[in-house]
Amino acid sequence: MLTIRLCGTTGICVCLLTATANAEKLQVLTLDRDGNAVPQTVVYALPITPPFNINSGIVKNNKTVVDQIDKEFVETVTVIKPGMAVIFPNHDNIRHHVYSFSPAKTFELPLYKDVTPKPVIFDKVGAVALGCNIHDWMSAYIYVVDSPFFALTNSRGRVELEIPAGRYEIRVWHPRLKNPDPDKPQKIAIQAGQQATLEVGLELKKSFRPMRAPFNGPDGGAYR
Amino acid sequence: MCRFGFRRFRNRLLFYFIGLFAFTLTGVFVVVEQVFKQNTEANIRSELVVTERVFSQLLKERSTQLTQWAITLASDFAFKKVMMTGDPATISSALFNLSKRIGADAALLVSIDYKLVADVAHPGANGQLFFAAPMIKQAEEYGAASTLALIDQQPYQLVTVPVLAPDPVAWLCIGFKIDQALLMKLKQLTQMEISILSETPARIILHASTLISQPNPELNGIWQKSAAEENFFWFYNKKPYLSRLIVLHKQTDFSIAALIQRSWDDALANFYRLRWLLAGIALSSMAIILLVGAWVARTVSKPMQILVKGVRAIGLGDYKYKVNLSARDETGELGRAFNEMSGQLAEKEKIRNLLGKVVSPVIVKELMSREITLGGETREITALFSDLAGFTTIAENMQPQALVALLNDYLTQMGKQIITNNGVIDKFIGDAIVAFWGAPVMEQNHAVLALKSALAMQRVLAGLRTQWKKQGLPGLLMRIGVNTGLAVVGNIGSIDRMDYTMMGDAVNLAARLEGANKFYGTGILLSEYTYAQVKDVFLCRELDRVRVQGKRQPVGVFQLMDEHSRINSATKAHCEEFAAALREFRQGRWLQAEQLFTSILLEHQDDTVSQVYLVRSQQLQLNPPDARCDGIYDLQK
Repeated sequence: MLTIRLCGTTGICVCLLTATANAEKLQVLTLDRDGNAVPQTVVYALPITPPFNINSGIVKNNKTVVDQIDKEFVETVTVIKPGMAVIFPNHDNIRHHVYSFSPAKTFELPLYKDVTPKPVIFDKVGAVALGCNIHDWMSAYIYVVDSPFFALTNSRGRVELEIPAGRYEIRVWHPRLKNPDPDKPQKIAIQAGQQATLEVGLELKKSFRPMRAPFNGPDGGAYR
Repeated sequence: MCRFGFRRFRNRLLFYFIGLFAFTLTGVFVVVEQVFKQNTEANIRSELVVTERVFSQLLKERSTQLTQWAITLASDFAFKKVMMTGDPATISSALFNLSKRIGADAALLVSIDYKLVADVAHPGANGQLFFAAPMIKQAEEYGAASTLALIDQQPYQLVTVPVLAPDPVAWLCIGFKIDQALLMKLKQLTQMEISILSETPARIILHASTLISQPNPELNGIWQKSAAEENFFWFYNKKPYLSRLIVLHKQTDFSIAALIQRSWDDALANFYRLRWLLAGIALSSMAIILLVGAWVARTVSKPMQILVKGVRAIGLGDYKYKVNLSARDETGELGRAFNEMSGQLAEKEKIRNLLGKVVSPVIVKELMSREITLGGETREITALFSDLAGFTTIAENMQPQALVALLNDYLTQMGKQIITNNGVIDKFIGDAIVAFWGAPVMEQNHAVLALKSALAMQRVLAGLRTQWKKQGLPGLLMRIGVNTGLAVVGNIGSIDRMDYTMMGDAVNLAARLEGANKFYGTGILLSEYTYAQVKDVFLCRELDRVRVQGKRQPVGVFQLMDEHSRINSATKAHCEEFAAALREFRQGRWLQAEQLFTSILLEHQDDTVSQVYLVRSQQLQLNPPDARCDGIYDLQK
């Protein structure tokens, strides 16, 4: 078993195992500097060779939902492919005002309640930070990747990608990632019949999320 | 040399009272001043520390409040939307609008890579690296941060918060000036003067102050002073201020500090008031002490004055003088003691007077002057013995009362003559008088005085005789014997009962001579020893040579005639005739002697001595003495 260790985004360590299936399995574990599992991390693979149609990859849905219940976004991180539409239903009995000022997609769904606005189409690759104008603490992310091979880590920081054998750039993204665009993307070769395991160390920054009222943080601070 | 002294007790007392009080007061004052100043300094030091904390707390709370405001502003959705337009002029305008909502003095927008996006006050600075980037880095860690910074040479309190959309997209910086108003607020809270200074290697700049009006050159050394001492004295307008420098912000190239100061004079204002109060108390206390002291002095000096008066009266011999000091204290006791003393002195004086009557005043004086001891000394004196012839006979025929009256009269008159002539009456023995001269007081002229006294006594007696004759009393004659010689004089007797008297052969001879008058029919007889001393003053005729019992040496006996000055020629001739007759008698020419004495007696029938010699001449003619006879008669008692 070959293990490639990917430290931060500077080193890579892939363990290649023999596999018989068409789609090979790449297991990725995300850990922060203290060795804690990092859930809700976007892990995706960009194919280098052999070139093939990315559209042939696994696409779960054409339409994705980011729901709002009890003044929170239900899905905090949603990964989609470019061109996909996302709908933002509101299941609260008050209005919400979803917005994004992210360069990847700037939009606004001003104050709505019962009628779900038209789906928003995300055609640019990148992270889109979502907020609610009237509830500062509400926060969610749409991450648009130009690859069919992506997934989110589970609560133990693990994820399993099913990808055909070939060479890939393995990328991770997390809302608190300090350096989201590494200069040197990490490359890995997946061989047929082999199972690869990847351990990714992430350097996370603190998040300044407005606290949900009532404020009770230290120093009467407004962030958590 | 002039010595300091008090003429009045009151002044002395007041001097000591006031002196002691002033000393105590000065001591108290020095201690109070010391303690007060120490306390004041300690208080100011702790106040400086408190002020430092208050100031820090004030800045912190201000910063917290600013942060809250900044968060509110940063949450403004419209502003976020403006920001996303990327139009610098609009962003700057919106920023200005935001800052005016809270009255901020500075507002800046910084990108997440620390570059100025907008600065209300400096539109041209866009794109430059933000000058307080370390604050942003701190805010990245803690969500918000604050710092002190100089903007256009003005101290500002800056806070920064992220603009969240909902992740940080920029940093909003809001600044407030640290100006006079803030310092005045602090001064109201803490009573401290406060100044804001900044230090660069080149110079020190004064930014705001509640105290210092002009940039002061003395500020230059203040960092060094602060480094040497946490709290230090700093002079402004020549007035001392206890000061403390608090560095609020420090960077490599400059620092911002607050100088907090408390006026030393103001802090001691209470003490100065206390000082006046103490001075007032001291003065009024001194006035009270003066009054009380004067009163106390009076209570002491008045009895003393009374006593001085009393002592003077005693000194003048007024032993009956009593002082009136009725107080129950020591002065009263002194008064009572004084009165007892004067009583005892009066008693003594009484005794002394009494003694003078019993004993001769001269002896009293002598006895008083020294310790009375038994014993005597040998001195040359003149002794006088007198006796009234035939007194015993008349005494038997008189009533005792009348006799005593007579005797008293006689003795008083005689005694007066003796005293007048400085004689000492030794004793009265019935009608007899014993007196002497030359003791206890030395008297060179004792023999002359004794004879003067004898003559005076006989003269006075002659007067008395005339008186007595009128009363039908017989004329009494007085015999006087006088002798001069060595005798023992002194206190003789027992230790309880003694006389100042005389003893010796010379005394005995005087007594014999007094008795010998009977034999010769004379009034005053004296010995040759007395005669030797008085012959220049008195005329005396030699009568005989006698041998006193127990003595081999014969003694010449003389009759006192009178003072030379009072002798007439007849008496003088009489004496010379008698002397011639006595010469014949002594040479054994009895017949010639008989003729001469007969001749004298023809003219002077009352010359009893010549009669004695006439008889003696006649007898010797009939019975001539043998060869052994020396012509000396024995003098019997």
